Amino acid sequence: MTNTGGFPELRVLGTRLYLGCSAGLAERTAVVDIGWDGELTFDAAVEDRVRKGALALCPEEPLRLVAESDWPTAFLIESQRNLDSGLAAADWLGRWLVAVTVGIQRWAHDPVWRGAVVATSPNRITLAIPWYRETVFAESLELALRLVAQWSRSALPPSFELNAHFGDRWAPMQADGLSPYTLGFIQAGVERGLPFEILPSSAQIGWGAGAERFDMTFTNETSWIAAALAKNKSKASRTMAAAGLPVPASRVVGDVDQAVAAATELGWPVVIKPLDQELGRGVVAGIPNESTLREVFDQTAQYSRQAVVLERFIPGNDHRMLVIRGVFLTATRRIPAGVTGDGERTVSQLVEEVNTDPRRGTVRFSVLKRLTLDSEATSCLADQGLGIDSVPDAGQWVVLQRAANVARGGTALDVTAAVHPDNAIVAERAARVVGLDIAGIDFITTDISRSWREIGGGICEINAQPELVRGELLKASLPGSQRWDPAALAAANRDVEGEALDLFFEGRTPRIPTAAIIGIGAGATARNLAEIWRAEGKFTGVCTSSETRIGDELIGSRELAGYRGARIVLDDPGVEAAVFEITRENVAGSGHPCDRYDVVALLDGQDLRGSDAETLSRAAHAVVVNADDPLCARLRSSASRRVLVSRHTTGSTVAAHRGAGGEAVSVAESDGESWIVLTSGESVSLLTPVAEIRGDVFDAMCAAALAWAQGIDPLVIRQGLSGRNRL
Amino acid sequence: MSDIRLSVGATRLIPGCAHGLRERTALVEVAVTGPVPAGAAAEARIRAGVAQLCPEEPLPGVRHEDWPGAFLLSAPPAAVDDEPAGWLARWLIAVTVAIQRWGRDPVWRGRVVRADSRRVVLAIPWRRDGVLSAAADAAAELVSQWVWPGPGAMSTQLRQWFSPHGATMMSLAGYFGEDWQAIQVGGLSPYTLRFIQAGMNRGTPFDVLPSSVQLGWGGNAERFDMTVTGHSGWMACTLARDKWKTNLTLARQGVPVPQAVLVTDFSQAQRAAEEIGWPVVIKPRKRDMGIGVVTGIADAAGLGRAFDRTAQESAGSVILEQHIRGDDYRLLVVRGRVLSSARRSPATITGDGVHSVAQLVGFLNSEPRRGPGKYSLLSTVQIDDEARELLAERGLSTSSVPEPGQRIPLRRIANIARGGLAQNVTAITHPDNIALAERAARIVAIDVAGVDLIIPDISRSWREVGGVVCEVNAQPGLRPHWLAEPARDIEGEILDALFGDRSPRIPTVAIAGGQHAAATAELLQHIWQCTGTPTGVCSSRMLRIGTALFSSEDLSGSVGTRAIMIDPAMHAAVLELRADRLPADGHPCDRYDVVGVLDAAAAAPELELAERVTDAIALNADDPGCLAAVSRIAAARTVLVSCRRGNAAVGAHLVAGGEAVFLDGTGHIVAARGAATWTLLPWSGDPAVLYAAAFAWVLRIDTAAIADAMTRRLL
Repeated sequence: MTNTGGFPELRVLGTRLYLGCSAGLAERTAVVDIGWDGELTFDAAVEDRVRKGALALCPEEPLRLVAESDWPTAFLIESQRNLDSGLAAADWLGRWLVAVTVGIQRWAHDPVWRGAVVATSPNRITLAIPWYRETVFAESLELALRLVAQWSRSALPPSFELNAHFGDRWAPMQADGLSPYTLGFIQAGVERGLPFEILPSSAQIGWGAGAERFDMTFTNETSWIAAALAKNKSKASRTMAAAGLPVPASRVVGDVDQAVAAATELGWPVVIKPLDQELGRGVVAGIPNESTLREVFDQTAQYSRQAVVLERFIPGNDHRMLVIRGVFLTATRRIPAGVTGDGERTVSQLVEEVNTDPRRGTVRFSVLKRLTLDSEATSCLADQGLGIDSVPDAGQWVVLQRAANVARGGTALDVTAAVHPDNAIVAERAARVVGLDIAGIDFITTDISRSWREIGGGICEINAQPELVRGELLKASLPGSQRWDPAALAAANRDVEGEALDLFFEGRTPRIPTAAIIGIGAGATARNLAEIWRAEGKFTGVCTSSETRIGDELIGSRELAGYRGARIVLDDPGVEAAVFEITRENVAGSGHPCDRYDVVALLDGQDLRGSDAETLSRAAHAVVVNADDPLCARLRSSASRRVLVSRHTTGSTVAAHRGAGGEAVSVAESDGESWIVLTSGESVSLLTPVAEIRGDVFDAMCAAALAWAQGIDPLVIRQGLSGRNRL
Repeated sequence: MSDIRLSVGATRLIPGCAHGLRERTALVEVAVTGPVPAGAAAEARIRAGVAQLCPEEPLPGVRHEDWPGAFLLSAPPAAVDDEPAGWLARWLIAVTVAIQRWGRDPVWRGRVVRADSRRVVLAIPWRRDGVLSAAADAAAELVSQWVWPGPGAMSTQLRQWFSPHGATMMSLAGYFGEDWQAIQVGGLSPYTLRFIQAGMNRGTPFDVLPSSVQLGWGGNAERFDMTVTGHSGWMACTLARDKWKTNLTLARQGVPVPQAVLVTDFSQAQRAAEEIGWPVVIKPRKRDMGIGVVTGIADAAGLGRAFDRTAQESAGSVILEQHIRGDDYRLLVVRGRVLSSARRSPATITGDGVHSVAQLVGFLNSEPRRGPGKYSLLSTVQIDDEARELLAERGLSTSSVPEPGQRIPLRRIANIARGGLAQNVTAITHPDNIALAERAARIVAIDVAGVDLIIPDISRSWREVGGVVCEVNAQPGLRPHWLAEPARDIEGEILDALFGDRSPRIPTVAIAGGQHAAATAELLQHIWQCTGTPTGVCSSRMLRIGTALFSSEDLSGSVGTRAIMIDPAMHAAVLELRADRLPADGHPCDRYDVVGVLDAAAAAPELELAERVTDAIALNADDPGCLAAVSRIAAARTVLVSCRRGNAAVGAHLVAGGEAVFLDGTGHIVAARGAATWTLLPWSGDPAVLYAAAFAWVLRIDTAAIADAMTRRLL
């Protein structure tokens, strides 16, 4: 260890893991206290070393949408992104510790996004860090403390890699996390402010009936029948042909003799592929004659348990067209694995050179795959009159694989902007007829910018689990003469998962209406509000400290109070509105079940210095406050609307609030009858006679205030409070 | 000496519907040699004969007394009925259709076209040509033998089939030998067939797609693969298949489930069992039909005996769970609602003090409903290790003679596939238990789900007596419900739940005849599309889907129609039919909402255009041949179209209160019903424009929209 002076050892003093959101985070939160002895220095030079170190942690998997300059802000909540130079050293260090801890967890494929520095003092900081797997979190935190300290002392080479550090444990650690595709969708959601939850077999973006679920590139709208159909290339092709879509004529063959007969009938050249494989395994394209077919047949046949599909070869380039929920989104021209000669080096030397690109990995989720000189490559080389030791001419493009899949070392070029509308229509209709929500259509044509009806072309395959276009992939080097055009470079920054989410949630919000109620009478208020939502015609879930109910069904009682019951409500695919009683005890123990609520009601002022302020800060639209409680009434919140509830029409608090144009729910006499009234500034409207209310009138008023703030029609509120819809 | 008196002659395969059939039609001629006897006695022999053909697989909805009517369209022309060989022809159809159906082809009802004493002509539905011809040959031979019994000339097949004593004790499997299995495997699954049948009973058209069956058309269709519908997701089905993750998911949502642990070896299993408490159940993580499930394991010794077997069935991943006391119930949840609830009980024998266990099992298996295949209504029960264990627990062996009335279960689990029985409890199932099953199906998101409940008493709430959801099946077998409620049409009710109030069909217009049919169809589709209804058109010049041209070839008829009907975005279809090709190709649809007949050739009665109309038929009043057809048309609305001023037939039709579209004195295309008139468009001289506007008007498309669409013609 050199230069140990100047940067102290960092110690974890304590960790609290919450199941829900806490300390201002929108995710499952860990609150960590970190301490040190002595003086801390954290300046630009230190930061530079830490940044270099962090970037070198996992070079083969660049974190999606996190550029070098985005460290550490990409890992912090919105309010902590202003890193002005006046930041105290401890604060600065805290932000980097959050970033590195989150970064390591994310590389381990956990869905963790944004943390925060909660408090700092000269020898101690408190951090709020998102977590998913407890062990991964604990190890990431320990490692982050050690690395940041050592990088700060420049005691560690910048080439420290997670892969090497975790050794054999790294691959299983990643495999036990989420797939990068699922993570991509969640990240796109997080960037759009959408809540997510990890379920045992899928990831959910949104809540209840508004949610969409994902697993890899399957969504809840991917039908089983459709996915099974897409997996069977022959049946999928026949289905598309029946719909009048352009597909190459094909036959299913059982052995090489049948294959030769079929090829003779269809006409050379032909393509063979296994009946039931993906990722381009076993596909051989452009087979010109019987002898080549006989040579390659067994290789393909071994991939398929059933049979081999032989189809007429369509000349042209291979394009992958992505269709999501019926809409054509992107097209990439796929370029098979290959090298460009320089007139000096041999094919194998050129391959070695290409493979030094750190993005070319061997694992399943590497952005690019390494080139391999396998039998397919040898055979391809032979077709070009080359061997692995031949020296191609300068600028000569040497193809190493016939199929242009990324999984087999290929690269891709974004051609979305060039796609002719007729070709886009074909792709969209193919996805529709097969029934896929996310479909990758392999379209072959000599020119994607011209209509298939004019120059031919056809669909050679439809995939239920397409590789999504990754910007990183598109930035990959291209062969010799093919230089980047500006349009392609611009497209390389596309956020396909984000565009997909925009389509999924087009014209609607993935959230359902949510209300949180704290304080005395919260349970009864929650039940009243749930009745109002039912009167509104919504399938409603309500979780109080005594029971959790979905629709008419009692799900459980006290044991589900708080986080668990609220999550049951939010994760039920049928629920259209949610009402929660939030107790301070639950918030302290588990955190919040969700990142924010539409409305929050505070019914007493007993704990304003405790967690209530944080709870109120999670109100997206409005807070409802008990104005008869003087502590409560003084409360200020950041929410745009504040509705007061008071039994006294003439109370000074309410009067002042109304004088300022504010809203309130109170009681007034009309025609000798006592009514609950809604007042907004000077205007007063009668809601319901007090005599119609069953149970405590104040609880009903609070519920009415919440419902009003959530935009429910007063007539419906009255109906809900009367209990008539219970009959 | 008896001889084969019936021989199949020429067969014409028509890809579409013809001769009045609602299905793909074949015209089969059968020559009759020898006198046709009177029906009654011979019919009794045939009826006895067909009962032997496939006793282990009774055809759903066809009772013994329903033959042969169940295989015939309900109203044969009376003239044919009276022909001397009419009854023989009807039986030939029934047997041919039934054999195809047992061969698992979706074929339903045929019709006698002609039946004189030397030759009968039959319209028979078909799917696979090889199966049709095998079935027709077999039917001719079998019916011959039943009608003219005797040892005369028999085919080798038939000689093997009839025993030396002349008794017909063998089945189709025996008659066809090895071919039979291949025929059945090449067909559809019996579940899929039942759905198609339920659809046919409701008048719902079907199409067999490469990996599923579609009921209905275009945007209104539903797809099925066995009991999986197009609305069950890939993720949902994968989750349901993984019993471990299903347990986790349900538990997380507060659904009562048995406490469960995933284990990979015996020592883990033993530890988990100690922790959960005996008795326990083990099951493979991802197997259906009760395979590898062992319940009621009382101790480590029992666990040791069972563990390896289960582990073998599940690639080492075994679920060990709490054994919940109670009976086993299967609730069928369809699109969120419980349809049927059945108690399943394990295969059991009852002692009589006389027979041994082995004999009692033999009796049990001799019930005709029990068969070894997965499609027989009940499964046969083998005396295997599980049965021997259960016997041993009662101190019995296979040769023991149980006491009278002693009930001995032969299985621990109640799956029908393992020999179990089912009993109807739909009416007594407690509403809480129904709500529980519905929620479980919703959480796993299965459209047609089989939810397994274990509960001591289904008539009381699970909250009160304790009960758990132990599985949610994504592709539920319907046997428990067929057994429990044989009188119910479960598949039909499933279809009713899936389609709700919507028609499975989309509006269709068929246009035939003359040089303007193609242009008329294309223009009509354009108008319809312009009103915001996604529409497809196939004509002798194109296939167009919405505004996108997909082909410029002749796709009139079946090929183009199918391209439209399998597109889930399509909500209306315009089809050109070529009169010259209809006799060979048949109709692409069983019926159409609106038919347009534009010339005399298309008006020929044998083309059946008028017979296949449900709403309106439009006829070219300028063509005398067309006009002549008016008298035999039974459609609700007959609309005359004319490109002339003052067509006399139009005038007469209007006077009688009829509808017409024609050219008025001011150079406009006008629609009229009786005395009321609507001006549609100025006359351009193109008859196709008048015809298309007329059809649009017949379809009740707003007249302003028609005019507007015409101005936006893509010409």
